[in-house]
Amino acid sequence: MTTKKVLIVEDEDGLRQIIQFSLEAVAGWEVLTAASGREGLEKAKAEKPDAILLDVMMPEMDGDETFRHLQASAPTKDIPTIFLTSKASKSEQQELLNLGVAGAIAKPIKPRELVEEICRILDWQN
Amino acid sequence: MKVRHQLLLSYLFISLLGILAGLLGFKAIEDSHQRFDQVINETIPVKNELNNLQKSINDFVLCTNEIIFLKQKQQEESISDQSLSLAKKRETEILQEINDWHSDQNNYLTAIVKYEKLVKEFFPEEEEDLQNIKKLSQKVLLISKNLIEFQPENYSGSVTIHKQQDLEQANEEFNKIIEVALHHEDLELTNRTNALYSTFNVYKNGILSFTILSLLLAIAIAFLLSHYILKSLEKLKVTAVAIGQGNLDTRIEIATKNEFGILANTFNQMAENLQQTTSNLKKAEQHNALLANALEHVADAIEITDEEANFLYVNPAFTKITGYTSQEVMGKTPAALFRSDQHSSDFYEEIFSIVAKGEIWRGLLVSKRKDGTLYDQEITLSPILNQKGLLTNIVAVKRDISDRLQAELALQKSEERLGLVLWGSKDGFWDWNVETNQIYYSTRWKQMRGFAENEIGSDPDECIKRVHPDDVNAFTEALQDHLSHKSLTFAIEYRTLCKDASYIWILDRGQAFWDEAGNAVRMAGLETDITQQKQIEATLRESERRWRSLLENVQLVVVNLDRFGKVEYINPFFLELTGYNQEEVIGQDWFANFLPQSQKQQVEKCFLEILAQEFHPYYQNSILTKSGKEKAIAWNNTLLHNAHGEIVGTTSIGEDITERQMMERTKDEFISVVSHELRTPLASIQGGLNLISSGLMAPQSDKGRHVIEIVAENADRLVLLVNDILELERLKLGKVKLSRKTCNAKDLLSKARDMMQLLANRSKITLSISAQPIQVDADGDRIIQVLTNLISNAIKFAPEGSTVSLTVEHQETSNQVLFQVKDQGRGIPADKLDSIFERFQQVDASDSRKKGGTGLGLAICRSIVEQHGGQIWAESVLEQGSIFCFTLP
Repeated sequence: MTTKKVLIVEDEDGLRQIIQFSLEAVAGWEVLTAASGREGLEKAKAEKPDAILLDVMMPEMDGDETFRHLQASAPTKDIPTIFLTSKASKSEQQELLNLGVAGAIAKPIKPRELVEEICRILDWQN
Repeated sequence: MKVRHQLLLSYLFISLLGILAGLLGFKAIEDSHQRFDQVINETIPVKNELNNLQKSINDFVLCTNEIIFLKQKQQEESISDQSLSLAKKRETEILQEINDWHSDQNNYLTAIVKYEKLVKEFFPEEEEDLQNIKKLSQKVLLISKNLIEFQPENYSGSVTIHKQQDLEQANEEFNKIIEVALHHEDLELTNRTNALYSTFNVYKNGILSFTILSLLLAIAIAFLLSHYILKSLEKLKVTAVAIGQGNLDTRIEIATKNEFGILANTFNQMAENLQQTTSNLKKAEQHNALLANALEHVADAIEITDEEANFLYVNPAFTKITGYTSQEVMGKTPAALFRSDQHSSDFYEEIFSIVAKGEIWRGLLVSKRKDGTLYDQEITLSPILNQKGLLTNIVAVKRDISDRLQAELALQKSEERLGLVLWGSKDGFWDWNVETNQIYYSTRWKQMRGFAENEIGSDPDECIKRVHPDDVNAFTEALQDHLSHKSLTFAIEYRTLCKDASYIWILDRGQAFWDEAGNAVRMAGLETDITQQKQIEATLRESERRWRSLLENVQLVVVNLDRFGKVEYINPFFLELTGYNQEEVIGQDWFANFLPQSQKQQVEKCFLEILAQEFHPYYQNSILTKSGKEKAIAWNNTLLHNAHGEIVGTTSIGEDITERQMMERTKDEFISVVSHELRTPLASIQGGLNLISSGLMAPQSDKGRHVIEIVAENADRLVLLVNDILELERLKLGKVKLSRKTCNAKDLLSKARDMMQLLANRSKITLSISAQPIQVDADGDRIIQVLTNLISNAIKFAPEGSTVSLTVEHQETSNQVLFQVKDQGRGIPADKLDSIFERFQQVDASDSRKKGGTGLGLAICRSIVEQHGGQIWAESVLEQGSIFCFTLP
């Protein structure tokens, strides 16, 4: 099994690092990070990650918009994307899923559970 | 003017015209005659004289030539023949001729004088001719004289011949001029005759015109006169024909006093008399017919008999009562037909003897009908006596009183029945004899008012005096209106006083009876106690008023739609909410006019389902205001039924939930923001701690320490956030009590500056104060909290080395204390100046992370300032700086 390459797009510096450490430590994936939607789009195009973890509430370009841009661009439109959201309710999560993302994971979450959830959503063997 | 005078005048006038025409003609003829004579008299003598003149001159010349001739002969003879006798003869002849010549000369002179006189008198224009004639005639005379006196040696010599020729020539010239003069004279005659003829013509035309004019005038007068006469005659004729046809009312209207006037008056008089006579005759006929008719129709049997009691006449009532026809009884006597064995024959004899004496008999008899049945009759026998006092006829009036007896019985029963009905209906009855001004009040009438039979008299005042003071005017007015025929029936509702001092409502209905003169003689009516009905009505009205008041004042939309979705009722709240007025809504299609396009179909479907009783008691939809805004309404629907239970529409009551919905949306958004703000640091804390606690990361490692730092930072941030949220909520809920006291504004500013000095120093920012010692009534700690918050914001966004200035001043105009915190930072966009005071509404969403802070500071500031009764706002110029201001009263 090849090492997965995952891109984290999260504006909150601390949280971004915690997620990065978590994925690296738990799953041993190669983790790329971006602090804004715009940076995320660039990295996604350049690096072609296997999956993207995308924060919903970000300044300037929020998660929705970033995802629309990913979908609009040929090199990135097939990359599975998972929303990281602080919206807890089922109906709110369903709204996000309706946009066409692979899944949504609610914050906060423990490192192992996070990896398990990503694998479950993307049907990855871990 | 009388017609004969008019006629006389017209004849006189026409005759006058005739005489005038005759006189005119006569004068014209006379005049012409004179002038003709004049022309003849003037012209003929002139011509005569001219002829005389010519003749005398011609004679003259002839005479001269004869003398010459004779002298020639004398000369020749003297030469040839010396006979003395012949000479003498010749000498005599010559002398004779010379005499003639002188006689001619005299004639000439006479003629010329006459001519000259005539010309000068009548033809002055021929003066020239006269002069020529005079000149030439004198020339002839001169030559002639010269020739005669000439005594040449030889008369036949050339000189003589020459002179003769001269004479001949002069004579010719003279003749010519005479011809000319005669010609002039002829011309003149012609001219004058022509002039005369034209005068004649003028006269002729004048007379002709005048005669025609007179004729026309005469015809016109005759026409007018005959028209006038015929018109009057026509009127007379028309009236005569009308009267002849029996139209006796017809009269002639001729106002003149002439013969026609007199004739018309007489005629009218005659017609009047005729009409009067006819009318009298007619009346008499009518009277007779009336009498005959009355006899035929009278209900009583009437018999007329002769003195022996033989029937002469019976009326139809007789046949009806007795069963005998008129033919059956003629010539027979009552005794033979009617006698029953109820009375003795003496009794009948006695009756007859009384009548025979000329007295009237009245009495009751039992008689026998044709069919043999007996009946009671009331009889009056009246004798008719002639002038001698002898009985000629008997008139009998007989009345069958069997029916009357029965009727009296029936009336009694009917009254009992009416009494029962009235009693049963509980209505009171009254009967007013207007003439005697007494009223019969029924027992029930009195009972209704709580009075016993004997407590109420029969005076109208018994009723009037008890009518409620507020109703008495209407009552008397209605009564008067009916009595004076203004209203067909009398009907009024009024309150009347009862014995127990309470009032009851009465419905009074009555009818008056009037005599021939139109005066009310009697009036009767019924009274119903409607107190209970009135109370029900009042309750209903009150109920209706309450409902209406509720509908009109409730802060809910109430709308009634008919089965077709047309608005039947709308309450004021709807109008207030939408800005429409009543006229714009009532009768309009609800779905087409007051719903947003997108919801029309769905709501109309829902409405139809409600009507079909597939019940939708509650639903929500938007309505449109007049200005096109949408208002969300939560509806409660019910069906409207008519009296037969059929569905006629819906009533919907709706609550305007627009604001509530908006607040809910805002709340959702806020919760979502709070959730994010809380979860983000929590996610870092949980993730970080789990990395370490699960052994995935060694705490002593570099990464481990970094993770712990991140966790600690986020924990601090979370604490700050939770504190601010709680603080804000407490402020909002009013749980923070302000401990107000008088503070010095300058001190507050200084304290805040001192607290923030360390932070300012770290960011290399100068804090300057410009303040006056102003006293404010405020919670000092809270104001310092506001100031430090504003100062810390200013420091965060101010560039290094810049100054943040703090000022406080007293505003004279509003009598408020104004605090200002001014920075030289990046400034705030205009559209954010208001929203930054809302929760979590930083200018840039990333600010809370980059610059620290919870996004709640300004919201807390606003809460504190507003709780003090002040205002807070921001002013800013981009890239130059912002000023945060707040006032305290």
